[in-house]
Amino acid sequence: MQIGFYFDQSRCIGCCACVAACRSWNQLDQEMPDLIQIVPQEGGEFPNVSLSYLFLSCFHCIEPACIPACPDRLLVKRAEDGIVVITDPEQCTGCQLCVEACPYGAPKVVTAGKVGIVMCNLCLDRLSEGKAPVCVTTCPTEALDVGTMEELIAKYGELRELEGFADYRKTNPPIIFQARNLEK
Amino acid sequence: MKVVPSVCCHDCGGSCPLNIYVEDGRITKIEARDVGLPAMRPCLRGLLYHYRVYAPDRLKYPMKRSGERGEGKFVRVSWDEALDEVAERITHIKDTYGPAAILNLGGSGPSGRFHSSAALSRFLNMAGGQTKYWNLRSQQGGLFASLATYGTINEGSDRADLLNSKMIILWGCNPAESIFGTETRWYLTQAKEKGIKIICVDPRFTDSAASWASSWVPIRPGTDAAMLVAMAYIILEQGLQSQHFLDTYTVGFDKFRDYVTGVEDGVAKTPEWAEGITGVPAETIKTLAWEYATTKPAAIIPGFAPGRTARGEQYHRAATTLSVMTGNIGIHGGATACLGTATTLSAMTGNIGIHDGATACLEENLSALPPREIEPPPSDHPDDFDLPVPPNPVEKDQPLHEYAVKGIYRHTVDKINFSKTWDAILRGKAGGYFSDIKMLYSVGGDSLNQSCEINRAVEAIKTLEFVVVHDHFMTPLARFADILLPATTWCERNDINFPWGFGHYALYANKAIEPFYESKNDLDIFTELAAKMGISGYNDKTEDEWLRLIAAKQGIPDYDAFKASGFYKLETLEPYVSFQNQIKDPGHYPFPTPSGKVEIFSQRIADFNRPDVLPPIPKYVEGWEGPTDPKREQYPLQLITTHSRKRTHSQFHNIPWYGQLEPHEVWVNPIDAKPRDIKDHDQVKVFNDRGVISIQAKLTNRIMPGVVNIYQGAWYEPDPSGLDRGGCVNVLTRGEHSPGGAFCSNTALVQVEKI
Repeated sequence: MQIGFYFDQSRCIGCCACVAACRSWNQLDQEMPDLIQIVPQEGGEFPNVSLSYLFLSCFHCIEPACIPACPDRLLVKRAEDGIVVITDPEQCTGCQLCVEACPYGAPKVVTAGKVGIVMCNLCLDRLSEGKAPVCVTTCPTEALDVGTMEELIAKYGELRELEGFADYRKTNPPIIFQARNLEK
Repeated sequence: MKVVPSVCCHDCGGSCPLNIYVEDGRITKIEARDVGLPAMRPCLRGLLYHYRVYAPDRLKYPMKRSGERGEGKFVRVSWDEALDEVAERITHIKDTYGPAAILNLGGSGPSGRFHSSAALSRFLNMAGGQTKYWNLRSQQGGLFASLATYGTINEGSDRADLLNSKMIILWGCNPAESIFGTETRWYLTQAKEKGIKIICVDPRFTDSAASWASSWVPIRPGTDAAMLVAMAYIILEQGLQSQHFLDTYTVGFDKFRDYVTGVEDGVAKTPEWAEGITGVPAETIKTLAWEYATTKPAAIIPGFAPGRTARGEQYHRAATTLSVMTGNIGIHGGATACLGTATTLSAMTGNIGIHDGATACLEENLSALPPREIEPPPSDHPDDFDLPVPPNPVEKDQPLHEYAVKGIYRHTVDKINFSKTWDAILRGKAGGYFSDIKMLYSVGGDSLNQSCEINRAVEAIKTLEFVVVHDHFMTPLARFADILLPATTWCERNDINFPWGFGHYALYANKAIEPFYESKNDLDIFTELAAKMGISGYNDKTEDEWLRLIAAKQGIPDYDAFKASGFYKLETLEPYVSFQNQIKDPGHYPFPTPSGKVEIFSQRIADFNRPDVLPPIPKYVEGWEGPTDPKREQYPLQLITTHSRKRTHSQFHNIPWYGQLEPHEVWVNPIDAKPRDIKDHDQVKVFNDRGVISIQAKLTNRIMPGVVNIYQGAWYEPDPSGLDRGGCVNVLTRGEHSPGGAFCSNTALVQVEKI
């Protein structure tokens, strides 16, 4: 089974509530990096301007580039749900090879205190209680969802590509998109 | 570990449910609390509030100034020593100069209904009186227009009613960042997906324009009334007005028509006329007017920002008139197109419940509520609201203020318009003000950073004999305190909160943690001061008794259930829309105006007798630093001071994570940047006669040429040369108000230069 994200770009208003909720739930101190990034994509010239947002996180790729990149084999893809996790953060030497390998820059480097990386684990603690990840339950426009790939495709279709995101063929991230409707 | 149901208590217009996780007496995380409504989700500010609660720079102890005033040097003192000094100085100033020498600069930083700056007003009135300010900075222009036109501020529709519109115009309104009612983001998203056409009129291509609008109409700041008037011209020219509606429900439309068509002054207010003023192409105005008038129902949702300009009242009056002309009042899917604040629990249950600062201009209108369609739950205490504030002895028998437009505002001469605070301190009685201010008392806000013309403010504060500030941090105003007292946050006390004007629900802020170090609730500080000064009855109820009283006044039927669940919503059969009775049965339900009708022409405004600045019909009236001001040669750019998602006004500025979310920048269009040789991320200075700030430039097509944008709320941080390195916009804004009261933070001409 593979659990993945759904991101509805037409609903994302760029508010970053997901970023804050993720930090709060994961009890990250202020020195720690954000696990989610909301990246504005501005285009056009006045007055024909466009603006949309990218949602970036660890997408728990089907063919992850980070796992083979780790010299200490600390990253593991769980067989039961496909979630990529760090098995033993204490052993991480902070070499950042996983960061370089990931097309989405998802592993985040910790610069304060113990060196290492942090990344989204899809709120495993919440999933085990039957609750959706905190980014999903926080988004004020319900632009995010998680589910098995079968569920996501059945609910939201099969769009795997979105302008601004790395080519999905590289690591096969389990994320389904809804593009921003640009028909004005 | 315990999970405490609470609510984010900030001055953003929303009120959002949160779960606060507490371990060993410390907040570990905060989560969106599910109240079964997806529209009720919080934003990034509440979710990391513990960063603010435990910030290393949080004030821990009472402090006393040890250096020069404003130098920022303090020593720790005991509560007893601090309060003895405050009590002694208040007594001395009151006895020497009279109570009007004490200026109350209470703010609206804490939005809870119990722990608010009303605690200060109550204390000072019981201590003998005070000088108060009038002017709700956020929306005074809209307040004026609403009272003049409809006779009440209880006008508006539920956000859910947006789904009944066929067209929505967001005018100077950016709820994607500013919130403006918790539910707003949800219903605009739903409206877009339902296929409802959404247009955004704004000098900036905001997140709201990008997220919801099918088209963006950039407009020069302060010229909105001209565009609205030109839309009225097209509607009249094409005969698209709802004449029956105008004949039945309004007065004075003929006078407005004479102005629009040019009968009055020989100038037809055509789209071509408006193009020259607003920068909006005439064709765009024509198309929008035609679409708006022929799509029914349609809702203009006005933000308060265009009203925060010189003559900002005219924008609100004009938007309202357009909505009336097209028959969009009192119906589902329409809009009152003014304040839109009818849908709070307090308004719907008959207790207007607005911040203490607003009462000065509302007293007369508290009883003038329109009949409601929904039967309110019984209230045991209909006469007072929040923490009761007794009358101010200073204002007893005083005549009305020159700007107290008869029957609309009733404030007396002793009150200062907030915009004139510093002028009043500097010039006093000799300058025509009611009193010589000797002391400033600030609770719940930074009225230095969030006022206008800060350099003048600094000059003024230095002349005072005594300054007391309660706050959480060493804010720009706190630096000027003589006695600085650490206050609690909403996590450290019990309270009740509800949104400004949008949504008939209340949330309970259960106390999550004990007060931080030696900080105290404002109310408890005043209770101790009252005891020291021999004032009895200041705090004659327990916290629980007060909160039960407030809940009862809001019509909350079961206080204990409310406290336990943390949420109460007044259910309605359908989305609430004000004035439905007035429209269905005008014979029985007059509007609460002198004529009983919607007053497009207002005799009450006419009696003010200043048609040049405050005309009795809505007009475009150019204010200072407008399109034809000769100052443009020196300062050619218009500054707007907007709301960022990462702050609530000046709160959160000092919290590093929020600061890093996006840099503090001045938005400059590449067309304006090029001749100034400014590149993206260059450090620039923004300046005018009032001051100069240093800030990074953001080159973006999201701002119209000729306009620059800086988010308000960054903290004033002047260097020895007077250059504000904090990038506080209010160094540049002017300490003047529009005659209807509007706070003019979006009217300022500036120049930008590379450093």
